[in-house]
Amino acid sequence: MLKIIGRIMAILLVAGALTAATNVAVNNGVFGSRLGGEREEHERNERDGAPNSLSARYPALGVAVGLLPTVLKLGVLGVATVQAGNLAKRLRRRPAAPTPASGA
Amino acid sequence: MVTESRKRTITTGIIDVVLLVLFIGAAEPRPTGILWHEWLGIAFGVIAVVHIYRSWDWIVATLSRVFAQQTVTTRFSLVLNILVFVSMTLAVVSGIAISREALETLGIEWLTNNAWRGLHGLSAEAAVILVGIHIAMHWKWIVNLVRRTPIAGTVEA
Ligand code: HEM
Repeated sequence: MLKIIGRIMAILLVAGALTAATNVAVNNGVFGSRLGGEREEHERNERDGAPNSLSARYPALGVAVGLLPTVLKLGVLGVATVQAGNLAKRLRRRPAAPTPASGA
Repeated sequence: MVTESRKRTITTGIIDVVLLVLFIGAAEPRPTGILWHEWLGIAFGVIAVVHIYRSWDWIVATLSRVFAQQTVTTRFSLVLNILVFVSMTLAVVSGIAISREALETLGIEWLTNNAWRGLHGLSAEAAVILVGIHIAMHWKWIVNLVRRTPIAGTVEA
């Protein structure tokens, strides 16, 4: 039990330290305040509001279609990384000398 | 006969699927609406702690050998996982900082600064990219898990 609490505390402590550092950075304007004023208000309204007509009629469909970009991004990145890994492995395994021609 | 280690693997798999579903749900606030977005994000943060907790042995082993010889893959994974952790923490924390619904429900008021909003979008975008690579790094593990489930039809002898 103590071990569980200790580990969770450690995770939260690191996350907390990161948060505190970020807070200092934000308060000192390190990240600026890019999304200020009208543009931000506009973006927020756009984000929250007005679902397109199809998703208004079929909310589940709207949600499913809306989540698609993230699924696709993850999928593309995943496949690309696996392929890059495979390629790296194959290149590393390639023999130094050319392999003898096979057969006839 | 299901061994202890097999049980642990399956539990890990279930937790990871939940985590992925929460993450995908949280990564697109528009279709879900902001209320769902915030709660999905908070739930994600909680389950992420469980996920890290269960990876404790790997973390300790890899960090303790950080200056020793390690494979390129392990080193890459370490750097990647640190970046995943940083981007996720920033996404959840900045999300809470700009929360409009969830925190109000809980009766908490927090600082709102526009910079947090920018940081939220930025860290979330970074997280999506890093998570894609993180999942790919464990591709073999995932394929093995799926292959060996009874549903897939190839139960181990
Ligand atoms: C896995 C965690 C999270 C991810 C991946 C994520 C992702 C995102 C993304 C991509 C946006 C759109 C940002 C933009 O267009 O600039 C957004 C907006 C937002 N998120 Fe999150 N989020 C997460 C967690 C949270 C949490 C925990 C909360 C609050 C409790 C939250 C509150 C918000 C709010 C209020 C907005 C709208 C910002 C605005 O008014 O401009 N998010 N989030």
